[in-house]
Amino acid sequence: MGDLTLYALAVFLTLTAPLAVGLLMGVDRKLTARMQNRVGPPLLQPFYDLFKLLGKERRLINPSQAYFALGYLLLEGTSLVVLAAQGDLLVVFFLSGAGSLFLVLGAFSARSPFSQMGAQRELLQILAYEPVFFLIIVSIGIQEHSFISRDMSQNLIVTLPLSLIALVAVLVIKLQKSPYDIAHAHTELVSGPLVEYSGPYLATVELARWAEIAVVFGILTLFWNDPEPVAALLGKMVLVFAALFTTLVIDNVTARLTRRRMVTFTLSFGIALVAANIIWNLYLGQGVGI
Amino acid sequence: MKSPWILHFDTGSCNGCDLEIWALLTPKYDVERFGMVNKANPKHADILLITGPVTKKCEERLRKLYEQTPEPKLVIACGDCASTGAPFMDCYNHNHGVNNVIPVDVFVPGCACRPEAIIDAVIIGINKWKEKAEAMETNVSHEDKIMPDDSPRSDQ
Amino acid sequence: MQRARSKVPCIDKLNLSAPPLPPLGIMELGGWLLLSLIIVPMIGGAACLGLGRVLRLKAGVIVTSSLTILLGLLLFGYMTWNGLASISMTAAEVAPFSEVMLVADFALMLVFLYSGYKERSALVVLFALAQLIPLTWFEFVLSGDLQEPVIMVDFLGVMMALITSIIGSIICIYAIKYMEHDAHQPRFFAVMLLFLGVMNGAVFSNDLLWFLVFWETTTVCSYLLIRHEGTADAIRSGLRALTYTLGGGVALVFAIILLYHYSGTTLLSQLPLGNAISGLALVPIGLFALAAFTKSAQLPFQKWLLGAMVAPTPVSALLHSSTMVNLGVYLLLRLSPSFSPIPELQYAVGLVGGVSFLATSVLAIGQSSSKKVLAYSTIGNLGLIVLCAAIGTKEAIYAGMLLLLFHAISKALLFMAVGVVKHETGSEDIEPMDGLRDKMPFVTFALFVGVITLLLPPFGMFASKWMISEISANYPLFAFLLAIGFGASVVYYGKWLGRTFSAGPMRARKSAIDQPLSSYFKWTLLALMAGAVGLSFLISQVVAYLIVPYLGPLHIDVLFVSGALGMFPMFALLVVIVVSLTALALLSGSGKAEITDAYTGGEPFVFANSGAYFFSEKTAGKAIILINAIAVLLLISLFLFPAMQEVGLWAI
Repeated sequence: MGDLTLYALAVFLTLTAPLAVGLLMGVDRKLTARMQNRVGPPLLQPFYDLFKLLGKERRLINPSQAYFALGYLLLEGTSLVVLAAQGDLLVVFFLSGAGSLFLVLGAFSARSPFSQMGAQRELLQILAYEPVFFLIIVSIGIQEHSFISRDMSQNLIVTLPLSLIALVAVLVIKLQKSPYDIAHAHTELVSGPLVEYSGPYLATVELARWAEIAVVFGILTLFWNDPEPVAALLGKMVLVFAALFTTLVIDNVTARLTRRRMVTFTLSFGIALVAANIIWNLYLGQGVGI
Repeated sequence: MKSPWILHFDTGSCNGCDLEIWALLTPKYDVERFGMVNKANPKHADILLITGPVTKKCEERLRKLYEQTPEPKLVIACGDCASTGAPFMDCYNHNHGVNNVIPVDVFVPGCACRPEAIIDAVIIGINKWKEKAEAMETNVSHEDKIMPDDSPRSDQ
Repeated sequence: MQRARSKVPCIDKLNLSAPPLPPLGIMELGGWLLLSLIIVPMIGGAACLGLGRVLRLKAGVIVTSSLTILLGLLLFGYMTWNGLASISMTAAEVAPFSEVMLVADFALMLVFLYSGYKERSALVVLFALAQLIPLTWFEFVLSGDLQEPVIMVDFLGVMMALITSIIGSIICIYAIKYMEHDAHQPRFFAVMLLFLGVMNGAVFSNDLLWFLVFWETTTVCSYLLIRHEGTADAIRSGLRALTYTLGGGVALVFAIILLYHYSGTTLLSQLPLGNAISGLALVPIGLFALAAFTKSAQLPFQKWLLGAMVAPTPVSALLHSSTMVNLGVYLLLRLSPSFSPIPELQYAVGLVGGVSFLATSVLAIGQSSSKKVLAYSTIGNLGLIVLCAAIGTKEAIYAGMLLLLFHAISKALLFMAVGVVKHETGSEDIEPMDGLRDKMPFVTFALFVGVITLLLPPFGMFASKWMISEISANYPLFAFLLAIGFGASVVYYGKWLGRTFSAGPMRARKSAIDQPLSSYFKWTLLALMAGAVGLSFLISQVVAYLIVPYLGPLHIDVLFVSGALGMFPMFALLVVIVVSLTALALLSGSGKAEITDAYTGGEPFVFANSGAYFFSEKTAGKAIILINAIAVLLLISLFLFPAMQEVGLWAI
């Protein structure tokens, strides 16, 4: 592919990926409703929500909330740009992590009981998923001998099946799904870190969250590679839908865990899964030696 | 307006109307069809579903919640108590209806109000949404928004 | 006793990048610069003791600090301008000083003996004797002549000298205001300035005996500074610091003697390469590492640095960013080729660093004192540098050097900002910092800059973390330690920063504007903020002028994000973010938003903030015992492997 095509592709992916996630959220809500024997909202419901929020009045407790929300969006967006430009996965990871920190700071910057508690819990979630996410990326790097996503060529789903399972756990937390909807916990914390955001600012945060989720899905798609573009695309899409469906089922059949159990469970099982996978691969002599 | 987010607030209701509101979320009525979601947070809400006659104790809370809901917003008084005070007509400790504290857009009759009626009220309310949004565009000052022409009845 | 030097291959930095020998005149100028970088702060310090009156003391500190900064920059400029990879001075050139060093060495031991006797600490006396006796034997019986060159500076040394001279001097200037009500100012500033000179001396020394003298002088300086306030707590902490670092000194003395015994050298530039030695010849290397661990407060020696938090904040800033603890990791970076080729030692040292990073990052979550959090963070970051030294590839050393530099700037900034808070409000705990941005917006901003430059992309620290992560793919075991550590450091910094940013509705805050900040505080904080952000902008220049001259060109360049679209500089990302943030903020005009109250369920209650600390001191205490046990095992293994190899039980 020529440079221009690549640029166009990167820009196209960066712009469409959050929208695709928005659509996925719609699918998610529809499927959840069907599982609960309801009709559910229209597929485009997340976009209706977003547009409505944009048209509402601007209200803030203090301006720094708005800056942190914008920072969150921009950092997640940059992370997505790097991923779409097939750049370094570690940079993608660190940028996305920086975005999450901005969400937390935005929540902290409003002196509100729910917001503060939500921020504390969001930090715990970061503590729970970040190490696992990091190790998944390291395991990809070990397997492919590179962290540059352009270099990915194997079907990682075959060589790193356990990392893939761990990634689903990360996805559950990032999607704020039960049993890990600790921070947003709508029955007790209203919506955690987002409580004090309203109108257009809430829309900003929501969009940033879509970008953040797009990053996770983007890394998920790296698990399937095929020299044939159509097959690759199909495989990637199947992978995304399978992961989404799994989190959805998990969401509907589990109740929320306590925050302590979330941290211990995710860290121990997530890390153990990735470790088992890495050790297995080293044992088979596929990866690098110690 | 395809995404009305709801804040439900009980101002001293007997819980009859509240049960009917919760029934909206069940598979039978499934208001998520219309994009309605219970947000439990005035900052995210568009429509306030208020039950109960508004006890004096609740008055400040209700006003606060109303103020914290960003414009444009709708208030729906659910049930007879919320609409008029009904059996508490001459009680010393009530405000005799939501309308005496904050402006109401739609009144839903019934003791308790039927879920179908609430859905109906929301749909009616959504029709008013457009003019509210336009009013917001023309920059009505904040004071005017809180106290429109039909100011609270003070003769009770 | 055989004194012939054995012919083991050596790291000879002089030969590695042999530059054309400069004419004699230039060499002398370089030598003078080196010597003055050591001596000027010392003279300034001594003068401070004499300048009793406050005004003159101020002038003395400012002049000395400025001179030191200037000399540091001159040295860097001089070496870069002339394209020198290193400057060295022979024994003949420094002849007048060698006697001084010998006297200083024994004077130091006597000081230690006296302190131990005065404080009734048997351990200190024991350690002092354990240094004095072997050293006397070594100096007078074993080794006669000084080996050449006594003083040698390459760009690692220049970087260390720049950190010490510039950041250390800024801290001294800052301290003028911070210590203005102190009763013993002359003594305080004398030791602070002496510290800078001694630190420069240590990184310039090539001869290990000289290095030892400076090393032990930093121990004395830190001891004096920690116990400066004279409270029971301060004296206890000072004594603890003295005990720990003096114990490290004993390891260093034995390391030097054994190194001479096995490899026939006492020069840092001629340390044996790891794959050239085996068996007991590896013991001195282990001892050097042990000494470095005590100095850099790695597990299980972290306690002295945490205790050192009782000292006035400028002292903490100095110890943590520009002097003391840096010396340990500096030694390890120098030592890296000696132990990193041997997997057993590599993993033992690397694990000490990695476990230090992991454990301190997690423990910091449970801390409510900001200085303790910073102390844990320092130990953790030094642990990362230790890890880099253990991995020992060119890229790893590169990452370690970047980390050392940027950590020093950001950490000094953070400590100084905390110091201002302490100075103005009398507390350094995190909880009372709730809503700090209302009371002290500038200081809060300084804290913010300090934390984001320490944590987030695309600032300097991130470049090295990124690099370490890349390298960790070759060392999966280390990757697991890094993973949790990275996550936990986001948590404890986020928690603290969030606390300072927490604020109520904007309209209620209009009256709360803080009193103007002292210009000493303001300008020193500004200088460091500019340094932290500016050097991140100029990171490719930093690499080109400080790191490449030391390591040579690198294969990979992490300053650029490479992708299908080629490479684009990491910092372009920041520029994009900042520009678009500003543009969006201007466009959306957040000022127009209406100010509202927090949602409290409609209730009018006043809300009191409090942080979550997730685990109690008791749990932490139990964990520390476990972690220390692991660290001790790792340290034992550092000597067990060579011993087992010597008797043929283990094939390395």
